[in-house]
Amino acid sequence: MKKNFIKLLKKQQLIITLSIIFSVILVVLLGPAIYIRFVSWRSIASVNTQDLEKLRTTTENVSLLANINGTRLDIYKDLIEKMVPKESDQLRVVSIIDELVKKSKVTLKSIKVGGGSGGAATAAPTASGGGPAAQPQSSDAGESTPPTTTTAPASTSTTPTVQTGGYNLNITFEGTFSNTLQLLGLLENTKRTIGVKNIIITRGEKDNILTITADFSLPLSKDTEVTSQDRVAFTQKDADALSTLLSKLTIDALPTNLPTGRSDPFN
Amino acid sequence: MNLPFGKKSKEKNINLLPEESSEAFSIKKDLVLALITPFATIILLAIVFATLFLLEKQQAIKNTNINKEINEKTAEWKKFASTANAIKSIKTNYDLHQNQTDQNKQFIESIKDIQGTVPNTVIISKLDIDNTGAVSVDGTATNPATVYQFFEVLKSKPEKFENTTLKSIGLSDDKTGKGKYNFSISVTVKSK
Repeated sequence: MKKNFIKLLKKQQLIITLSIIFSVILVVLLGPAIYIRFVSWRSIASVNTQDLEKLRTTTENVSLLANINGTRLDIYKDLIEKMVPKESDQLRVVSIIDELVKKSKVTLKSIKVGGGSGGAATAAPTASGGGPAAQPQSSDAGESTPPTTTTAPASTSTTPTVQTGGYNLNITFEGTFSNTLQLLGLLENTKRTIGVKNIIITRGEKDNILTITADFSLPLSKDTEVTSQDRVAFTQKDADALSTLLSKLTIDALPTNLPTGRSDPFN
Repeated sequence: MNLPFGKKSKEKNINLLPEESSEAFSIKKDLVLALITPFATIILLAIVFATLFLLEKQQAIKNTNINKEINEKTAEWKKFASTANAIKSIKTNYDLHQNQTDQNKQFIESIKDIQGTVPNTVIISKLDIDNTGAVSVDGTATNPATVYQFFEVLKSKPEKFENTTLKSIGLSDDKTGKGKYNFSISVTVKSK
């Protein structure tokens, strides 16, 4: 036995070869475990890099937000909420259009405004033709001239005009070409974002008076979700732009403040 | 003399050791080498494994600390969340307003551009224009050459107009005995 062992020990090449094979087997067996550790280490390191960036952004955002002037922000917030409200503001819009029509000296013939429920409220001006008479009904009372109707549409009146994120307004008025351009130009001064979608200007056969049909779109504000990772800064440039806008938007409408409780509301 | 692994020198060296001792020494040397190789491999693998393990643990601890800091900062940010939402809303809606205002200005410019191409004797009876720039012009003229001029002026300004098409032209009696040419042209005003 001992002899055999010594004999075996004398086969040096064999022993060395076996030891190398054993080493290779070790590497092959333990290699995957080491590789898994390596991958895991790199993965956590990569996550840490991302998290550090996240931390840096959040820290920066906190410091930015901490330095914002809240008072000015409230003013701009009010302005924006009036400009692009979250809910349909048909009465207000009809009243604003009334102001626009007066300022541009055209004669309003009809107005249709999309309703939030999918229908379209309509308002027709008085027959006198002296100007539009669509008023916010909720506040009109007392001895004032009876306002024209703002009623829910009949089933045949118009197709639903509500759009995702906004609604439509359609007006028909009479006036000159320059009046029409003036009315369109005044849109940028209204404290309500109004977009022109389509205009049809038709010349009357007899009196050559222009009849203008305009389709407007009234966008509604969408809820915006901000996370701690969103960089939300309010720069001086933003403040200047909003201040300019604040002074530029002069056309607005508010409910009247007339006495209520008319003794005979039918006469 | 360095020799390959396990090879013996064939040169006759001056060896003071007896041949038997020399052979035993060589066997021992190879045996030690044979034992050291796997042992060294194990040690090396263990060192690598332990190093990686420690590095991973170190990163894990770092990760815990970062997450803790993130949570603290997020909680701090939440105090300003309403301000952040307000700013975001203001900016989004301001952009919307500006975009709409720019489009309206473009719309007015389009109408003025069309106006600028109408010859003196041509009377527009209907102008239909939408916010994509698509325009349809219906009108009348006593002389067809003025309609021709209108059409050519539109075509001659490719920087402003495109897809200028004469949809129709015809002669009609206007009850005064004079014939009138009714026409319809469609054109697209390019956005600036």
